[in-house]
Amino acid sequence: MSPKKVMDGNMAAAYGAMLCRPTVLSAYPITPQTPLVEYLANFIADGLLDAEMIEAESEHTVLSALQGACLAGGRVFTGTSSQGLALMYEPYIRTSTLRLPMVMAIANREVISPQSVWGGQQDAVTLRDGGWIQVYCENNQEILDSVIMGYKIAEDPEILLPLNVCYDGFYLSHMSEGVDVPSQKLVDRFLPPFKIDHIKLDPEEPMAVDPLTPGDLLTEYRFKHVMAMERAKKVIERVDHEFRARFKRGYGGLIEAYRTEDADLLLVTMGSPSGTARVAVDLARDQGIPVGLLKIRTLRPFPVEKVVEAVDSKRVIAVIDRNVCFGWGTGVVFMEVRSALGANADGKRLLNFVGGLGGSDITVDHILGIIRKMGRDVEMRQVTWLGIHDV
Amino acid sequence: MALKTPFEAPVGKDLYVVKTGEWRFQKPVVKKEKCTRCGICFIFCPTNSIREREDFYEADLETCKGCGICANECHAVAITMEVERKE
Repeated sequence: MSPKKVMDGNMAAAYGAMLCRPTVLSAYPITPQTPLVEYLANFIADGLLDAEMIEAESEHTVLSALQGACLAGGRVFTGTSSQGLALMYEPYIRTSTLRLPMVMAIANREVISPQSVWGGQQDAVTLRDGGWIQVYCENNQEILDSVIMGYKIAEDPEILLPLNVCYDGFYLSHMSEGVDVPSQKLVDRFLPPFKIDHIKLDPEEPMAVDPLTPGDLLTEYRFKHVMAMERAKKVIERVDHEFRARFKRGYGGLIEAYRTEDADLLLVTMGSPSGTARVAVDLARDQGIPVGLLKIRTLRPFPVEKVVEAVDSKRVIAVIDRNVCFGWGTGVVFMEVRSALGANADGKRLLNFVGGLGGSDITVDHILGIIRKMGRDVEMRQVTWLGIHDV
Repeated sequence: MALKTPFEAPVGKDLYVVKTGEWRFQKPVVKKEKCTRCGICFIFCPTNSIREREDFYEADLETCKGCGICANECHAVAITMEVERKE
């Protein structure tokens, strides 16, 4: 039986990372990720973690240094938030296009302006086309487990992609709950040491990194990158199965369906609102309302096939977004779900609820209100903003 | 499906993505007896194609793009550019 510890989301990410035995860490503190960096530094100072911590002068340097460490064969870890992620934009893209497998935690926070340090997923969703795998977590246990699964997915020879473990700032990063910490032995058996054959920086054997590349080869690299992202769908599901077999818990891989079997109404969430939505679904079910929940775990790769399958027999679909999609007038998850459905959306009602921005609450009452709206057959706006429009 | 490179990403040993030798329509020809081994062609070559031989310098045609800078710089006028024809 593994020991259960009370910890916040940042500590869950730190424990997850430590159990994966990274060799090089680097991070620049930024709210709400700061405690994550402190926990990792403590682990090293206390002799629990044998890794080198590079104290960099900026997030741009953090990720650039980790690119080098990863190219040299290291298993590397970092975390950031908001403006820190924005400063990483340039090495962020290069990390994925160089196909460097690593895990980076993102404690999701609003992007400025206006000045805000609170939760919101705008930072990470803005980088959804940056070529990384992005996993969004519902609770602290899922954060710890997703970091461990993250390395297994990222380092798979068929994938070789960096992976983000995203968790809502403050709602998870600073919220404490019981987390089951697996033993080092169990994790070691699940995750072998990082070994990469095809790339390794070695002064004795010079190699090229990112030479000037003509369009025909660049097209080929992009094609291979996109195909790796497609293959990742299967690998994420497989790794989730393996994880469940060894650790006795899992998350469904790309999506998780909750009480959807006979549901007529379907809520769709991503991140911490999923936990709130479960409670609301249970309460509505008690009143006989046939509602279920579809939790999106991976924004990238987007689980197109799984979403189409899950939505198949549902009449009303309401997507709750903690972010916005500029230019579409919706949230990002709504836009993705609508794209995935295409013609399959015919005859269904698709509703979008945007809320939880800048640390605002998405409450059980909000979601119960949404469920009531879904059940009514009256004409209503497609996109409802919590706090601006009535729910 | 036709893929041109075995590499998954632009990283690796022997990753030559630009064969500048394929751009060439004229090649530098060195008169060995005139070469003074001053090395100015080596210094000026933009593609680092000049190789040092026993008693003279010459271009490696794998990467020489035929720009003619070596011929232009050679004090001893030991290098002439000759137009190449496809066989």
